[in-house]
Amino acid sequence: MPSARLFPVFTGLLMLTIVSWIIALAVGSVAVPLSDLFNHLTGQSNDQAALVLQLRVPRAMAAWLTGAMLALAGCLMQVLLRNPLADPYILGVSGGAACAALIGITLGVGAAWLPPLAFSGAMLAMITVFGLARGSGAWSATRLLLTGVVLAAGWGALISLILALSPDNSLRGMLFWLMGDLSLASMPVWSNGLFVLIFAVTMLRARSLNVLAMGETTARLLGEDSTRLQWLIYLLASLLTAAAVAMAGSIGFVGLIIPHMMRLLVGSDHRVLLPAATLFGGSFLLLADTAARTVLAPQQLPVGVITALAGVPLFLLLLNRARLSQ
Amino acid sequence: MLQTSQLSVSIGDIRIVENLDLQITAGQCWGLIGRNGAGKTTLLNTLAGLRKADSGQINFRGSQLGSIARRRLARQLGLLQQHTVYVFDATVLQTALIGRHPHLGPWQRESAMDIERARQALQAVDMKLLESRRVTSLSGGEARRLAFATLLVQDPDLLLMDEPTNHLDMHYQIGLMNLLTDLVDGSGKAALAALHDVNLVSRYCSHVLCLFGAGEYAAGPVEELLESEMLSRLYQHKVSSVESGLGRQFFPAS
Repeated sequence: MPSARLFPVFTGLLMLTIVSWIIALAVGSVAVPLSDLFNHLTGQSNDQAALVLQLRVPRAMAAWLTGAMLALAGCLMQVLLRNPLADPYILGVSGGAACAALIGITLGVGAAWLPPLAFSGAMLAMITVFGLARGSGAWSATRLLLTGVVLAAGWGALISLILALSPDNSLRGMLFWLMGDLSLASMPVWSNGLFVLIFAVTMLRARSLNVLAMGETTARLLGEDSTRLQWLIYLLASLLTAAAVAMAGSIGFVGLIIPHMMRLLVGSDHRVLLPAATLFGGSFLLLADTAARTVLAPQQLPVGVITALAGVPLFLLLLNRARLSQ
Repeated sequence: MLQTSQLSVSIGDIRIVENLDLQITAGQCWGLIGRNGAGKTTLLNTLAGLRKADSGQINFRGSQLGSIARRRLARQLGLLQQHTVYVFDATVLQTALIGRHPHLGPWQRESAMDIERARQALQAVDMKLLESRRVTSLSGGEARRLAFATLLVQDPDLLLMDEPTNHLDMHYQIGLMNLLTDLVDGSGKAALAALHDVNLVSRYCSHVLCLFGAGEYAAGPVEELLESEMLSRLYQHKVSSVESGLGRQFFPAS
């Protein structure tokens, strides 16, 4: 895309980010007026606003970061598998996390234990795919895809089994977890650090991603060590997904649709696509989560429902406009 | 530039070449001919360092091919693959610019000179006007010309090409071969192209490598090797020839 068009697009995305943050912090059961919000930022606030923000800031941070991570992981997965239909969950990382989390809920572990448990499940799933797909040592994206998809189906069966065997009173919590829910989420510091680190690494390798998108052989002919690059992408995408899922359950749609939408908007140069998808993914999930906790308040909806309900028409609209402008 | 000694390549049980001694030097344009499935692609992939040979040596500029770092190799040796599949949409210009990848550091962006180079390559294959078209909307011949332009942008010294004239009409076939011979004659480059049109080989190539199957090969100057009897044996089909103003033309008997 011509760099002349990049400036307005990124200005728009930054504005959207700021606006989504303001809305997320201001809106809720207790409205925080903009003046209080501003005062709080400058360090002089009244007690009530401070109390409310103490609750909302961590949740907003978790929502934004989860969205950003999923969108980034989606971009990476789509390049890795050279498949525009790939999403961060396709290789079963979320399935492993879900199984671990559901087992945790069944055993009645405290809510604080769910994220580490889910993260371990995600890592287990990732390592299993890695080990099996590597097999004879020869790499191929097709083999990775097949191994991952089959294992994901296996995780899915396990999830159904756990749900079927669980007592009724824990089912609601389990379903919310499966649909993706940020009501208990807060992002630990290590996960912020992980995100920043991975974002930096992927930006450094963004041109290599463009080359890999042309195929692994083409990438090798253009000087990339394709196998190493592919494993690196797999590792980074899995870590992002694991961190996001551990925090918020398997929120659907963000990791599949946001990369697509941004491809339609800014093109497929990853140097532009990755930051755009990250910004938009974060804002999108932040707004969706704000809607999830306010639309039917005091009833809280699982945010995964909102992302799909809002994302489907938004995506179709963009797709239609892209077709018209061609 | 490229030298093989006692190189044996096989795929499964099929022997492609056995004990191949080949020497490609700057200024030479090699045609690679053989029947369907004779192993032209596999041999090209081996020479590009994409797959291992069974035995023997491949030396590129005095170093063993396998010991050269991929990025360094990519600046000096390029391969035009038989098929290019574009999964994600990018513009024609963006795709041509991909050829600069091995020349740029990880932090570097394409310079104005790189963009100029890409535009020149697109101009050379008559695609200047299509530079902002999406690659997924290109016709087969246009995609082929874009792939060749990308190779020109990569600017390697040894150009390996797997059926570069596929999908091209007569005009662009001749255009591409002219570009190729100009490149090889003018700037110390060399080329090896798998071709199905023997007449392009006889008109444009200086040398020819023939794969007969079962590991047998013949290599040498076009004027020494290329004649009806050899081609009849190669294609296992009677080939005749006539002399014309453009030199000897070969055609298959019915």
